[in-house]
Amino acid sequence: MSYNSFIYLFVFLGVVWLFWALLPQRWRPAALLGGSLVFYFVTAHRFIVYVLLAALVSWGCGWMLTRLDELLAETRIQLPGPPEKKALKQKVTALKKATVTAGTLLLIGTFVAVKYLPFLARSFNAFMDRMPWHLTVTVPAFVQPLGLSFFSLMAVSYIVDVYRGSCKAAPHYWQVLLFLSFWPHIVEGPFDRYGALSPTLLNPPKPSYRAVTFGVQRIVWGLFKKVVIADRANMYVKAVFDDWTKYSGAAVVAGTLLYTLQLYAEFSGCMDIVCGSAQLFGVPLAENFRQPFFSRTVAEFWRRWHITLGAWLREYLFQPVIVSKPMMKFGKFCRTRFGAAAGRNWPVWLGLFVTWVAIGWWHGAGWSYFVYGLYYFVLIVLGEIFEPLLLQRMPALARWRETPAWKVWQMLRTFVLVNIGMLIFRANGLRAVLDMVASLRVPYTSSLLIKLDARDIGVLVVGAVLLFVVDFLHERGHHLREELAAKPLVLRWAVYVLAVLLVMVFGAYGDNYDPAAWIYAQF
Amino acid sequence: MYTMEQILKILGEVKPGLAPAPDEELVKTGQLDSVDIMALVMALSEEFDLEVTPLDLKEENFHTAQAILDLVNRLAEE
Repeated sequence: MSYNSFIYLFVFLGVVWLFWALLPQRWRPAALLGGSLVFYFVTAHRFIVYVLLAALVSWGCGWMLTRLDELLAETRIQLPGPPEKKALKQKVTALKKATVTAGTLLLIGTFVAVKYLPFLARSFNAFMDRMPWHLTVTVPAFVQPLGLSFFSLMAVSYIVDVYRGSCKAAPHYWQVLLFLSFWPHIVEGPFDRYGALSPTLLNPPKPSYRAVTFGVQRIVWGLFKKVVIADRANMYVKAVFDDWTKYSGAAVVAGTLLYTLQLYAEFSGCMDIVCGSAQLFGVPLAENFRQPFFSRTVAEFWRRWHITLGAWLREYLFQPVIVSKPMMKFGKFCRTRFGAAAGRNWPVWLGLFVTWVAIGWWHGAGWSYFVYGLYYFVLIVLGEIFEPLLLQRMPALARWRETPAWKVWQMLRTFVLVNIGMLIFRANGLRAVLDMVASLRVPYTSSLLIKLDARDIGVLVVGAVLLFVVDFLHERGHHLREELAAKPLVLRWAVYVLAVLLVMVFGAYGDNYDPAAWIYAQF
Repeated sequence: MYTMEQILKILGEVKPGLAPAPDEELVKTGQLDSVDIMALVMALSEEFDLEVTPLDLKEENFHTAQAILDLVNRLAEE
């Protein structure tokens, strides 16, 4: 069941909302759980077992961690002196660490086995082919369940948060199951946190006119981005990236720019649809985008694009890696051998490398995704190295950086760098990336109207301008939905009707268009 | 007990040119990002022989020079 399908928008959401609204308050989470399980089962059938087990592992670990804390508190007061108390605390801490490690390994191990084992085996076999001895490994090819990357990582965050004391463990299994399987975030995220989501998820507010209108308008805006912009751009992008040797440099540049537009419109549009869906039920999901194309550096871009993935990796990978004992030892080694700056920077860069490789490979099991992560790692480390040097050599730069012209230049530079990243991300392998870059030698050979006519291009340009204007206004501090809600009823509803008509009239569906699958649902 | 001068000296080393007032916001204003914070953690651990855990890596512990000083003094006492 796709988020932009008729059955989801007009049947599923309507039926679940009615059940949810008509049930007494204490039973409303049951409507959400029932809706979530039906959604997943209808979409992914027997793979629902993965979600049920992931929830069981997470809930079990959370229960065990809480029980260990209770045991410590109960037993500690009965012990005679500080040495015994200290010994007990050490034992409990070790058991808690073992619990969180076992749970994390089980969840991440399943995720890695299902998603990466065939790729690892292929890479190993390719390496062995070049060796004098021939060793081949074969592994079973698992089918990746829908949303595995999302619910597995959210399950890990739940266990670690309970371990760290950032959130309380759920007393009941169904509560963790609802958190992981909640249909608005199981397919493409966002990566929500149990501590932030559970108060409204388990105790939802009463149905309200405001929640419904705000939810519906956000869903319509998401549909506009997906159906009018992304699916239309997909026609051009697919043609250029599937058959890249046929096209000139200008077509490759246009294809890359359109892919950036497609991915932004589609992924942020999906987030609008899912956040709007959750808003209908009074549940506020985490935001995944904050006007990313107004970023002045690639590091800032990644703080505004897929925000919850960045936050997850920062909190559960990057930071723990840096403050780990081996990394601290590495820092000391660097400081002794290469000076204070190396001692504080090199471990951080190593941590960044691990994180960017993880970001690359999270998107897919392939070497081009590794290069994609590496590309951003290199850009960020180069920035870390050269920024202080440039400021030292050109002290006036500190003043220039605050001028509007310099900010615009930084945004344009970041936009170009991000587009190069998009080319690596979308191309069919590294060979295709090189071919497509080489095609720039022949800038123009034939018409740039590929698969789309002038009307389609016009719709795309207007759609992109509209996206830009909305982001620009948000960047300037406007809250457009609240501002619209304050307008007179007639004007408000005129805008809603116009938005629905725009989707219906200009949506890229029908005989001349191919429906495009959600890109992030494949990750 | 460590002093504000020591913290400001390390901040200046980690982020050349950074010399904030003790209560000046550093994170929300973009003067310190997550990479700077981790470089700062490495420098603080080395300089003051501290053991920083993931639990200490909250924004509220790094958002001003005063917050950083409070964190360092707390960790030194533990």
